[in-house]
Formats: sequence, C-alpha cells, structure tokens
Amino acid sequence: MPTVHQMERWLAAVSQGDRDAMAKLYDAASPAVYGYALSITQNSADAEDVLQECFVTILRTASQYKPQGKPMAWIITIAKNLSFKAQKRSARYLPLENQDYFSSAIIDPDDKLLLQGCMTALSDQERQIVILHAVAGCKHREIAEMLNLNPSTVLSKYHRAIQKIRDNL
Amino acid sequence: MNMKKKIRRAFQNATPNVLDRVLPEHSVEEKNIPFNSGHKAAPPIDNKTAKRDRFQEFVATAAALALLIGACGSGIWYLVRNRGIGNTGGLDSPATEAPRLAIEKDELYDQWITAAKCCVEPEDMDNITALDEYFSTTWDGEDAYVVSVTYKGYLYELTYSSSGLENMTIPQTDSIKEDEYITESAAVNIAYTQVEDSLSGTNFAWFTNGRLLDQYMDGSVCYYITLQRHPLNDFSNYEYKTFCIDAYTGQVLDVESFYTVDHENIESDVTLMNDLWRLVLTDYNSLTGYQRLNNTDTSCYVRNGSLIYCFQLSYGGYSYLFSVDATGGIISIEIADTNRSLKNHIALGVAQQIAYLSHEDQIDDGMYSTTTLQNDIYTINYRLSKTEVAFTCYVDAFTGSILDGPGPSLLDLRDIALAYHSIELENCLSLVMEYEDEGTENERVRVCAIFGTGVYVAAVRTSDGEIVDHYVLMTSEPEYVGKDGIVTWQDARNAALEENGICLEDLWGLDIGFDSDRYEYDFLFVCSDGEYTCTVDAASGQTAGNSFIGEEAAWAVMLEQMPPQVKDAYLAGALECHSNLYTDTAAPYYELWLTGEETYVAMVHAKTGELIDLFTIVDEVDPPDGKLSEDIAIQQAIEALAGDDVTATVIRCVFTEGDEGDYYLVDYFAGGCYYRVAIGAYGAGHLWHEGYDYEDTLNGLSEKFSALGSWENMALTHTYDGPSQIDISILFYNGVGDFSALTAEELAFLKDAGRPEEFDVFRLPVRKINEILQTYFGCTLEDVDADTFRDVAYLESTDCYYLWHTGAERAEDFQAIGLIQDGDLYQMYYHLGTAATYVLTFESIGDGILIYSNLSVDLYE
Repeated sequence: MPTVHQMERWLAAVSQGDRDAMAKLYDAASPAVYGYALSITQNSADAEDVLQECFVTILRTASQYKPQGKPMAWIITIAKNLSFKAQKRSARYLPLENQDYFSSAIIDPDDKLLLQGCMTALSDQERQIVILHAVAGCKHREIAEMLNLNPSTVLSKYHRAIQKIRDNL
Repeated sequence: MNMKKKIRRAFQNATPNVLDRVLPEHSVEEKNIPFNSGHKAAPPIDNKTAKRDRFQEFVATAAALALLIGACGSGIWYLVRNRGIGNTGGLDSPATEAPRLAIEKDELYDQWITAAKCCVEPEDMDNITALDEYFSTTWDGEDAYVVSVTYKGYLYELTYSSSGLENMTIPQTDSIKEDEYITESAAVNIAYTQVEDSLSGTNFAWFTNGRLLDQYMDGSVCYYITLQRHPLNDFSNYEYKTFCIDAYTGQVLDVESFYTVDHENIESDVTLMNDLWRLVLTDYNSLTGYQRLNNTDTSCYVRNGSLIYCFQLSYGGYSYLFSVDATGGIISIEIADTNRSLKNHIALGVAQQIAYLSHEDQIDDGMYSTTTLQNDIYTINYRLSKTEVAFTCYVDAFTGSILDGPGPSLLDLRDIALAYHSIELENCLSLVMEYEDEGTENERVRVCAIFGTGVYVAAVRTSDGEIVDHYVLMTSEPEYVGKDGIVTWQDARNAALEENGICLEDLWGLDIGFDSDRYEYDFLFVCSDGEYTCTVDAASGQTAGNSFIGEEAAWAVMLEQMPPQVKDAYLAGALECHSNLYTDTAAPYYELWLTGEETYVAMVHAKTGELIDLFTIVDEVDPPDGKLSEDIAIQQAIEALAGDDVTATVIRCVFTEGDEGDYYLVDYFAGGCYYRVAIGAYGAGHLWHEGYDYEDTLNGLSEKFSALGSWENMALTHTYDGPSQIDISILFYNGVGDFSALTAEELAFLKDAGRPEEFDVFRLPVRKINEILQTYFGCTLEDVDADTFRDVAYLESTDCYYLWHTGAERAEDFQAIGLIQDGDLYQMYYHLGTAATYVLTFESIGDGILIYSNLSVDLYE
C-alpha cells in the first residue's frame, strides 16, 4: 500500500495533468474503489461504471483535494456518493439470482471463491468494512467515521466478517 | 498469506482496468459514447433554417457541456481552434475533450499573453514559437499593438491594448476567410448587452460560461456565447442563455431562452447512456450484464426548463425512443411506429422494466419471478423477497403500455383481508400469504396475520376480491390480556428482547398460555441454527425460561477467564463494556467487549454458554500505511511476556514478511531471560514467542568474566572478529604469569632492543602464548596478525617475546545484559561501564569456553 504522503503527492501531480501520477493513483486506489462500489451496487457493471466515473471525477477535482492525511478517505467518499447514485438508478432493476459478481477474467479459483464469499456471506456493512480495511487500507477509526459507527463496532464487525469468509472457504 | 492480504489481492485481480477510459486523450469512440456523433455536415450554401437547427444543436450541446462539466469546475470553457472546424460543429466527447481543450486553451492563451507582452518586454520573446512582426495601431480609440506570432504552425495576429488582448485573427488558414472577426471579448460584450441585469455586480450577475467560434460550410462564422448565472435565491440552479452572434457583423442572429437545471441531480452522460443500454438489454433470461448497442442516435433539447436527452436505440432489430430528463431519470420509452408490425414485440427486458417502473412505489427489494408472453401480452409476476407478496403486471407487447389485469393485485387482496379484520399492516407481528387453487376460477389468497394473541385468517378470491373464508385463532384465552396483574404482551416482549439481547427483527412468534398456575408469554425467535424461545411470566413480567443463557450469564463466563484485576475493575464498573448477540452465524453467540488498558473480546455460545473464543485487541497506533510502528511492536512484545513493569533491553526489531502475514520479530532481554516475540505488523497482536531463562548461567558467566586479570576478562579488552584480529599486545599486556627475574642475556638483549629501563618487562614464552590462545581462542600465534605485536622483542634463545610498558590492561566494570544460547554456542551481551554494548560469542567446551569473537553491537534504541 502506498503511503498517505505518496498518494497526496500523486493527487497534486494529477491536478497538474500528470498521467504517470494518475496511473499510480489508479493502481493504488482502483481495487478499493471497485470493491467498495461493488459492495454497494452488488453489480459488477455498475461498479465498473462507478470506478470509471470516480477516476474521471478525481481527474477533474484533484486540485480541490486539501492535503489532510486522508486521501483514500477522500477517494472513497467520491466512490461512495457515486455508488449510491448508481444504486439508486439500479433500484429500477431487479437483482439477478445467482449472479456472477465478477468477470470471468478472474481465473484464480481461490480468488473467485474468496470474492464470492465476500459478496454472499457478509452483510452490506460487513463487506464495506472489510473492503475499506483490507483493500483500501483505512484504519478502523477512519472507517468508523465514514460509516458513522463506533470504532469497536467496526473492529467487531471486521473480525466477524473475516471469520465468516474463512467459514465460507 | 493472511486473510487480509488474500482479500486485497483478490480485489486487485478482480478490478477491471478502465484507466484508458479515464485519461483525457482517450478517444470517445473507444468508449462508444455517441454524444452528438450522429451529426451530419451542413450542406453547402446553407440557409437560415439550417443554421437555426445547427444553433439548436449547439445550444443543447453547450448546455449539456455546461451541465456535465462546467458544474464540476468553474472556469472551463471551450475554444475550438478555427482550422478544420467546418464539418464537425462541436465536440465529440465533452467528458474527454474538455480537459484537453482546457489545457490547450491555457497554452494558447499563455502564448497570446506572452506575445502581447513581447511588445513591451522583448526579453520574453523566447517564450513564444516565433514572433514575426508587430506594429502600432488603435483599438476602440486606444493605442494598441498588433503582434504576429506563429504557434503550432498557425499564424496568429493579436491585437493588444492597455486593456489586454483585444483581438485575435488567423490570417493564414485553409478554410477560413481572411476577414477579421470581431473579437471574442466583443462578442461576449454583445451577449451581455442582451441581458438586462448583466452589470448588477451581485452574485446573480451573468458570467460567461462558454465560448465557441464556429464556421458553416457557406463560409459564415458565428460566435456562440453562453452566459450563466444563479437565479435569485437559488444557488443550486443555474440559468443559461446562449447567443449566436455573427463573427463579422456582431449581429445577434439567435438566442435561446434561458432555462434552469438542477445541478445536484445531473447524471453524467456516461451513466445515463449506461442506464439506457442496461435498461434495454437487461434480459433476465439470457443476459447477466449489458452490452453496447450497435446503432444509436442522440439529441438534446430543453423542455419546460429541463434538459432532455433523446436517444433512439436499436436492439434486436427494433427501435426504441427514450426520452430522459437529465434531472429526473427516465421519463418515457416509446417504440418507433415503424416497428409496429405483427409480432414485432418489444423486448422481454423492456417489458419487465416497464412493469417494474409502474410498481416502483410498491417495491423496495423486489425479486423477479417469471414472465410469459401470450396473446401479445407480457404477463410479469414479481414476488417481494421480504414479505413474499407477489403481484402481476400486464404489458402490451407492441406498445409497452400497462394493461389492466383481470382482477385485484395481491397487494390489494392483502389489504382486503386485513381490512376485514380491522388490522393495520404495521401492527402485524407476522403475515403469511398463500395461493390456493391456483389457475382455477376459485383461485384465492389466504392471508394469515398474527396480531396480538391471535391469528387472523382471511381467504380472498383473486378474481373479484371477495372474502370466501375467514376465522380467528386465539392462542389462549383472550380475556385475561390486559387484566390487572398481567403485563401486556408488548412489555413482555420487551423483557424478552432485553433479556436475550436480541432485536425485534429476530422475533418471529408469540404464544400465550397457561402453565401450571400462571400465565406465560412464549416468544419465539429464530436464528440460523434453529428456533429459540423465551418465556415471560405474565404476572411479573420477568423471564421465566430461556433457550439462550442471557447476557449476564455470558459475562460471567467471560469474567471467569479474566485476570483478577480486570475482573475487579469490571465489578467496580471501571471498564467500558458492551455486548452483541449474533444469531446469523452457525451457532448463536454473545460477543462481549471489555475495554480498559486492553480490550478483551469474548465469544460465548448463546445457548450452551461455552467460551468459543477469547482474545485481546490491540489498538492501532500506526503510521499512515497501516503498519504498526516498531515502537508499538516492541511495546507489545515486552508487555506480552515480560510485563510492563520490567526493564528490558531490546536487541533488535526486524520487520519480517511471513507466509501467514507480515510481522515484527522482537528480541530482547529482561530479568535474565531472553525473549523472541513475533508481533503482527498490521495489528494482529502477539503471534508467537520463544522465551529462555538464563539467569543462573548468566550469573556464573558474570563471575568468571568480571574477574580482573582472568583470561576471560582479558578477552573482553578489545574487539575482534576471529583469531586473525586478536590483538596480541593487548591480550597479553599483563604477561602470562611468568614473572621470574630476567637473566643477564635477556637484559642485554632488551637493552639492545631499546627498552627504557624504567619500563616493566613481561616475558611471554611462545609456548605459553600458544597454550593460552589454544585454550581460549582455538588458535596459535601463527593464526594471529603479527602486526598486532607492538613494542615487543623476540629472543630466539629463550623462544620468548618481551613486552615492555608501564601500565596494566583489564576489562573493568563488566556488566552482563543477557545471554542467547544456541546449543553450545553462546552470545553474551554486556557493558563495560559505558553505554557501549558488546557481544561475546563463544562455545562452551567442558568447563571451559572457546571464544570466537568479541564485537561492539548497536542495540535497538
């Protein structure tokens, strides 16, 4: 995981049109954005749209980021807003049964099993906590702020979620 | 690899790469976002009508641009370079073009400014591509300069006055006449004159939102100037006016009435398009995602003050016309008239969506069931996942219009049944609906509502909503409910919930009965592994029996495992504690949290009281990358084994990547013991450890090495890494114990060798030296560096070295720190009265030792 300082440096460079910095930022943050979007939208197509929109937004608004040690939280906030918009739009569509959350490009069966477990065995909130902590690298305290939960609740839910994923494997 | 890393890796592998679609230079075609892509070139010698149409296109485009992009960041505007604009008439992809054009605009503008500055500051000439000439002129009666510069192959003539850049022309182009246009700023000012309050100077003043210079095939050139402002008292919306101004004459050719769009709810063109594609193509019988359409055509217009996207989509040979309110989502779906031929049905997915949209207010978590096509009517059955309530919708397969069904919907039937019993839906404890005699003329829905202490049943015929059966089952005598001395069922329920720590959603049933000599409420709650009950005494309101042990008992189980001081603190109310009951797992359990200096978490089986797990959680005090700091890891390592009130000497703290997760390996001494502890680098806490008590051994060694003059002590007088580095002069500085008087031969030899008479002489027989070296270091004089023999002389006849000096050598203030043993090999850490630390490596051989090295070492600070 890149450091906060690195990410803030990349964001500053992105605001200046630095493509390399954008690529680095994308590499670092895209799994978290995609995973978080997926956790809300429950739909890989929507999550992919959110991923794209999120980075378009970052590209346009990187200059508005104020370095305060929480670049990932800022990015996740963008992703969250876009995800809820996508979810609202997709509320018109009915969820599919037995849907395949991930593309067939995931060839590692272990990965696929793990991801399916994340999507099916966890509650929405547990899934978001796992992704924010394990993928986005957010601290439990940051997650608590984002989700408006008690930090110990976040810890508890995270441990429970990990146990559920293990049980599901 | 630990679970956290596995999850991270899995999501990294699963994340699609859309970076190419994000970066500005990506072409729109690759994204298949056909924004205005269907525009055709205007015919030569176009007429006014065509120009008007073109203008409307621009207005829609400009408005869309303003909405989609301008809203996200002020100051972005568009200026298409004149060359080659004759056929395109706009931007192919605003989302991707805007950043590029903004950058290009900045570059151009900088060049213009630089060029203009060259008129008065010639030293800036290097900043432009070329400066051909400049001359003085006037502009609106002011002195001005005209500068000709070459930039990217184009010749620009810039007119610059004291007010700034006044005019720009491109005299040498292929497609544009060499006439001078009015300046862009002049065009903007003309636009401003068309609005009444342009100079109000308030927040509600108009400001320029977009500028575009465009040319038609007939050679006419127009400025399109878009002005924008907040309407009064409404900062969330904007008003726009777009003016078409002849670039030669300044005449206002057309103006679009202003309109208002709510920026907050604007959806991007990307998501809108994806919405529509998905809408059309989400055929739940065959597709799991959506695909792009082959043919699309898009236009935008304003209706009733809102921006409307109009899409004509082709799919499966049929054309669909979608009108989308940019502020409110989909508003209409039409099927083109040309497709209304026999059996040209609308797609299944479209019919489902139409049905779904028609019932959207009733569905929050719907689950699609079945769709059938019969007699040119789609029959779509949905079933709600939470309540199992189903409804049916009929959609005309040609027009997509909603048709009236043959009878009341299931929701209507439910309401009829509840109304019959005068029951409000929200007061039902549970509601079950079942179809009976499905497909027959007597088809009915049996609605069973559990309300209060009874089950209220009504069967409603589906064809006409007639009640055909009804009854009430009371689970016990109803007359006692509410009697004096009997608690209400709601109070009893609350007692059951509180006692067990369960929530209302888990409560599924209520029964009330007479057991022995008292009334009881029995509550049923359901967990993943089965059903549980809680009995509440109806007279006292106290729980009389539980399937679960209850929170208090769970706390007792946990406290049994707690250290006494924690237990005391808990009983004294000094600890923060909370609990959760989890019933959605394989076994229901209480999770109990106890937070003081440490946080203890226990999981106690809710039914058996078995302690499932007990662990401590270490708070993360870590740097931003999520990794524990070394200091925290060391602190945890020491507290884990030695306790927090001991003096520990940390040897090292090494970050280690392990298969089961990264960790810090912390080595330290405390109280004569050596500990090696693995601490999870990302908050996993104490993973494993090794601990050895060497106190007795260390005491024995200390006695031996602190004895001044002993060879063990002399071995500590200097540092060396192997025999070749042993300093013989220091090691044998005090002699080898042979203090017999020097012979006349020896005195004569020493005199010749230059020994000062006042210096003491130490005789060092080679045999004795080798004996000592062999005993303590496993080597002989042949193995050591001869250069280390300083101030010494060798006499062959006695086979002795003679060392002279006036002092003494010894390792004083020896203080052992700790010992690490690996078989017979030892590493002894010690001080010599200073802050410096040394480590002596030796092997234990019988009663003696064989020394390998003595080195200074840096401890962890």
